[in-house]
Amino acid sequence: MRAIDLPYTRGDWDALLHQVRWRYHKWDIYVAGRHTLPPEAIVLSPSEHAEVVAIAERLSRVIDVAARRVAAAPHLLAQLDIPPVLYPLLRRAAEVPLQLARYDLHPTPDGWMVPEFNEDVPGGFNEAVGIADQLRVPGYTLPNLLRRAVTDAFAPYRRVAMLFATGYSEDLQHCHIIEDWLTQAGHSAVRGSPAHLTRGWRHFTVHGGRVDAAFRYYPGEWLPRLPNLDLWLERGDRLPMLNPISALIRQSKRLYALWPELLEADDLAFIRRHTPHTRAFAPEEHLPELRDHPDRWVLKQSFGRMGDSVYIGAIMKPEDWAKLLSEAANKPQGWLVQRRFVHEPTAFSGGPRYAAVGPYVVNGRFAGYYSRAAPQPLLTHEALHVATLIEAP
Amino acid sequence: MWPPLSKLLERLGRLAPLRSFFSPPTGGAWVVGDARAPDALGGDTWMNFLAPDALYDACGPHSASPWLPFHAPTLFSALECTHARAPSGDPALHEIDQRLAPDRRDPILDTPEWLAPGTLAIIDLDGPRSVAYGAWLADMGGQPVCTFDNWPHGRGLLKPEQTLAALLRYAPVFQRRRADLTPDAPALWLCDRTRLLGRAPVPTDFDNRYYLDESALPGPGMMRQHGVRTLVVITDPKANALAPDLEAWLFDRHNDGFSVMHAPIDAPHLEAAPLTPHRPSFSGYSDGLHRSDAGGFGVLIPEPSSSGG
Repeated sequence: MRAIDLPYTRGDWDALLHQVRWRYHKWDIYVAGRHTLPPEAIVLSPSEHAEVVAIAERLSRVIDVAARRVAAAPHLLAQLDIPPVLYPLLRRAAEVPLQLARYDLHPTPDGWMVPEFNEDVPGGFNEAVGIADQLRVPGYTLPNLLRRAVTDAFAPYRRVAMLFATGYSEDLQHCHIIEDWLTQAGHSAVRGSPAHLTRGWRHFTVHGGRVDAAFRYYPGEWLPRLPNLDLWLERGDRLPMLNPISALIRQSKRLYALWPELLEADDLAFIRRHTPHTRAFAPEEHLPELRDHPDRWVLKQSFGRMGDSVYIGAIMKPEDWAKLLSEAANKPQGWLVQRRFVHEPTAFSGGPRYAAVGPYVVNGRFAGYYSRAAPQPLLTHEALHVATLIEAP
Repeated sequence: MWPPLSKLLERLGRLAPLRSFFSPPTGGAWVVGDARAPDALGGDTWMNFLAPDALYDACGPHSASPWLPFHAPTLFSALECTHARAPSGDPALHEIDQRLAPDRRDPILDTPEWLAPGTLAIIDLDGPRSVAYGAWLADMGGQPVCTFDNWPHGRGLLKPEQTLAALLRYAPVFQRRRADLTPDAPALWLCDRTRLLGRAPVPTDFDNRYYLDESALPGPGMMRQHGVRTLVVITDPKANALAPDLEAWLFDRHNDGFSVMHAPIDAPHLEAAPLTPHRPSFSGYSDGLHRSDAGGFGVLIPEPSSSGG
C-alpha cells in the first residue's frame, strides 16, 4: 500500500468537490475549519486489492457464523453489552439477510488488522461514491460498486423509509444519497426518525405513508429509549431493514472476546490473524498490566463509533490514562481491553499518516472502498478521506 | 379534561391507522416563501439564485476568506428538493428593508463603529431576521457566514424554510456588494436563534433542532491567526438570555482574552457594549444538550458525534 497525490490542479479538484457537495450531499467537507477531502489517494496493487477483498468477504462470513451462534445462546448474548430488552428481537431478526458493513483494515508489519467492525451504521457513502464517480486517473482503476449493491439489496421493496436521528445533518446527508439512489431506481422514500414508525393495516407506516422496508442510519443500541419501543420489540423483525437490528451483535466490540467459544479452528485461526487479542475488561485481572504498560493496550467501549470511546494508552497523557482506568474500573461493564498493534504509517507527500482501507461489504460481497488517513493512529470523524486506487495489472 | 375521555383519546391516538387517517399522507412537503413577494430590492432578481450553489455563493464569504469552511451548505442544499421556491413575504422584514433603500442609507451614520477588520460578529436572531440584519451589515462591508444546519420538513419542529425564503429575498443585497468584498472583511456569523427552541416535541414532530458546535464556530487559534480580537453578539433584547451553546463558546473565548461585546437590535446604530458571558450551563457534550435517541434533544445519549461510523 502506498499513497500518491492525485494529478488534479487546485481548480479541477475544487470543481470535483463542488459536485461532491451539491450532487452527492457531502455537506461536511470541512470539520472544525479543516478540509477533510484532500486530492490524495491510497494505491493498492492488484494482489493487495484481491487480498483485502478476500479478507473482507471472509470476515463477513465468519462474523455471520459467530453472530448466529450468539443469537442462539442467551449466556453469550448477555456478554455483548446489548440492552437486554432487545434480546428477543435480536434472536428473531438474526435470519434477515440484509447487510451493509465496512471493515477498516490497518496495515501492520504482520499483515492487515481490523480492530473493530462497522456493521450497524457504517458511513462515508457520500464522499466514497461522489469521488469514485468522478475520479479518473490513468493507470489505475477505482472500484465503485456501492450504489449498485445498495439498490440491488432494496430491489424487492418499493417503498423505503429512511430512518435516522433527525437532529444530525451529517446523518441526513447519508440518508439523502441513499434516497437519491433508490428514487432514481424507481422506489419511493420517506424520511423520519425510528420514533415515527407506526403500524398500519397489515403494513408499517412512516408519517402516514406505507413502507415496505427501511434503511436504518440509527444505532441499534439507542432503540430502547424510543417512545415506540413496544412496536419495535413486537414487530421490528418483520420490517426488512438495512441493517437489521441483529447487526448489533456483529457491531459489539465485545464479540472479539468470544471468538474461541464461537468459531471452528480454521475460522479461529483466520480471525486471530486479522483481529487483535481482546478481553472484556476485568479490573482485578487487567489493571496492573494496563497501569504498567499503557503502550501495549487500548481501552474501548462496546459501541463507540468514529473513534469515540477508543483510548490508546500509547498516545494518551499518563494522567489521562490513569483517570480513564479509574473511571472504567468503577463501571467495568461495557469496557474491553484490546492489545495494541503496530499501525504502520504510510508516506503521504505531506508527511507520514496512519491510513486504513475500508472495504464495504453488502450482503456478503465486496462493494467498494472508503479509506481514511489521520496524523495519529486513531481514525475519528476528523480523519481525512482519501480515494482508493488499484494499479492496473 | 374529564379523565375517562382523556384516556379514551389517548388510546385512540395510539392506533396508527386512525392517526394516519387524520394526518396528511406523507408529512414531508414544504414550501419556501411567498410566490407573490418581491426580493428585498423590490424586483425579481432572486430568481437568479434558485440553484443551491448560486444562493450559497451569494450569501457567503469571499472565496479566499479564512471563514469559508464555516459557511454551512446544509440548508441551501434543501432548495433543490422543492419546486415551491420564492422569497419571504414576511411583513416583519419590511422595517429592515427600509434601511437598505438607497435614499435611506447614510453609510457613515449607519455603519456600526465595530464593523471593521478585527471583529467577528454573531447575529443570533430568528433565522429570517438574522438573514435580514446580515444583509444590511453585509451591505456595509461585512462578509456573511451562514450556520443554518438543518432541513425543512412538513412536520418539522422548526421551520428553516422561512430562513431559506429570507435568503432568497436578500440574495440580491448580498450579491451587489460581492465585487467589493475582501477576504479580511469583518465576518458576520448568521445564526438561527430558534435552533434550540425549547418546546417539547410530540412523537409525530420531525425534530430538526441543532446546536452550534466546533464546525460552526472557529477556535481561538484560528481567530487570532486572522486578526480577530473582538466578538460582537447581536441579539433581540426580547430574548432573555444568550442561547446556551453560544454563551458557552463566548464564555470560553472571553477567558481566552477576546473582547466580547453585545449589540441589541433595538440600539439605533447597533451600538455595542462590553459583555461578560456567564459560566454556561451548557458545556459541549459533557452537559445538558446531547441529542436524543429520536434525533432531537431531551434524552441524553452517550455518543458525541453522528450516528455512523
